[in-house]
Amino acid sequence: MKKMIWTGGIILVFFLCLAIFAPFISSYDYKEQNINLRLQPPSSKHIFGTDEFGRDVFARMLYGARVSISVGFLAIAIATLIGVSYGAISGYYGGLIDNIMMRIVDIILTIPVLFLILMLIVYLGPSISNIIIIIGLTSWTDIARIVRAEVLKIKNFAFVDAAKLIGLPKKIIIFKYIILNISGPILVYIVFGISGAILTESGLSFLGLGVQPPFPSWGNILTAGKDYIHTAWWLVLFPGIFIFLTVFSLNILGEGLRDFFNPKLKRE
Amino acid sequence: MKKILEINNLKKNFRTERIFFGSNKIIKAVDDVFFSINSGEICALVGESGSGKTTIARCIAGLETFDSGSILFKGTPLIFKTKEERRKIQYIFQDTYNSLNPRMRIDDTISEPIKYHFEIKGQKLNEEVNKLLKKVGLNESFRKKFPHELSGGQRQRIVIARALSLKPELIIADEPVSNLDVSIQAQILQLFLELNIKDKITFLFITHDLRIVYNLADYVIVMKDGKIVEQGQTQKIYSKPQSDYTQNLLYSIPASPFKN
Repeated sequence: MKKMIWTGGIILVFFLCLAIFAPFISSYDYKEQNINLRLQPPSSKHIFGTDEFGRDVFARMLYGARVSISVGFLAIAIATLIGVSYGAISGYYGGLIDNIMMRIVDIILTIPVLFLILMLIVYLGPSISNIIIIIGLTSWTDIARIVRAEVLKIKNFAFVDAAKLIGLPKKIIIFKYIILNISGPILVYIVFGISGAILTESGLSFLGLGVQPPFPSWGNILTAGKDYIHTAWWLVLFPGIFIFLTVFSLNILGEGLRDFFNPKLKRE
Repeated sequence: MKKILEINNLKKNFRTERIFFGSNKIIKAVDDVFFSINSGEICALVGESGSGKTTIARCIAGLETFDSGSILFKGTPLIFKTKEERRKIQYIFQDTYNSLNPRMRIDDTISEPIKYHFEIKGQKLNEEVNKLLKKVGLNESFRKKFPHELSGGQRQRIVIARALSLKPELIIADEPVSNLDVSIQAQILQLFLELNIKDKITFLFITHDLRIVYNLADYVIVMKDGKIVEQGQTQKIYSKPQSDYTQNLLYSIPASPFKN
């Protein structure tokens, strides 16, 4: 359990560092073209090789990390904000309000999300901010359900009654007494959610509906590379590995955190 | 003596959830209950589990709504609209493990109600918290601790300190010692007696343990299945129990001094 948290955490921090310190790690510009050096295999000068326009793939991967990771984090930030408030209100008030709010969630869950996202992007146009907002607005239902279930459990604890007896306002009771006590499950969801959002963004970019060239994202580097898959393997291998490792690190981190917050599993 | 609390015709039903085509059953948790508590007394509400003791207590504290009847606090019905009204009735819980917010330090737990109700800050607040901790038999070193670092008895003292911080006139203690071991029970009960005598706080003490009641309460109410079976002065109930149920309860005490 601790090993999972550490492994996932270290890989994730590594990729975060790549994204944050991109200009210091590679001296190449991600959009600088050089036709003489197109489709060069990895070498000491271009460690991940070059693409069909002679751009340095490593530099594009680093700047692509910025896009992919920030889309993941920001989209889930939106989803968490909506999902936590929605779930908390539904669970805390209960009764008819809860019933109506949860039936709305059920309806949303019947819509295939990827097609909804595709449709919205075609309609609104594929820009980074649109992608963030659309992924955020379509992935809050899971967290709303998790938060609701936890709130239903916590709201019957005596310390919540104690807060009511003091006469504290509802918003303080909900945030300080209830949501603070379910930060564990929320954190676990956030981690899994980010990994899902990164995958969604890669998928969208792969379909050409995500981040538009010349801006790099791991998904569109992969798409550009697929035409050259027989001659230039480095164009698909490295983005593939980066996506895989990031999603993998987030998933084992989430798994580790879930066990960590599960009181039924003994902590060594 | 002045009555601090009057309860007339109190009724509260719970409906069980209907499963498929079954009909929902109505459970009469509190059925036409009358009683009153004199100011400054310790009144004990006794009965087996499921007899409606806690439901009555929660109705009085405003944590639960009731179907019909009235609850009068010093002659006026309680609606809990004002802060002043809210703080006068406080509650001590049976569940010592869940009665404190696990994410709040003891300091915050005790000072939050004071800040909210009396708008005291800084040094004065500091002194007030220390005074309360001292009153419940703890010291300043507890302020930086979290609930999970405390024992059940210490936690219950913190809950009492939190209730006292609001300067209540009536404290409802819902089986406050049933989760504690016997030596700690005695200390907590002693604390209740002191608060009753020194601070003139009225207590509604809910319990199923008749041994505790004899030394503590002035007045006893015996409940069964949502109804009051018998009520009266402690001495009277213990020496001449009128109903069979009370007699059975008294005889069931191990090594009972009340057997014939």
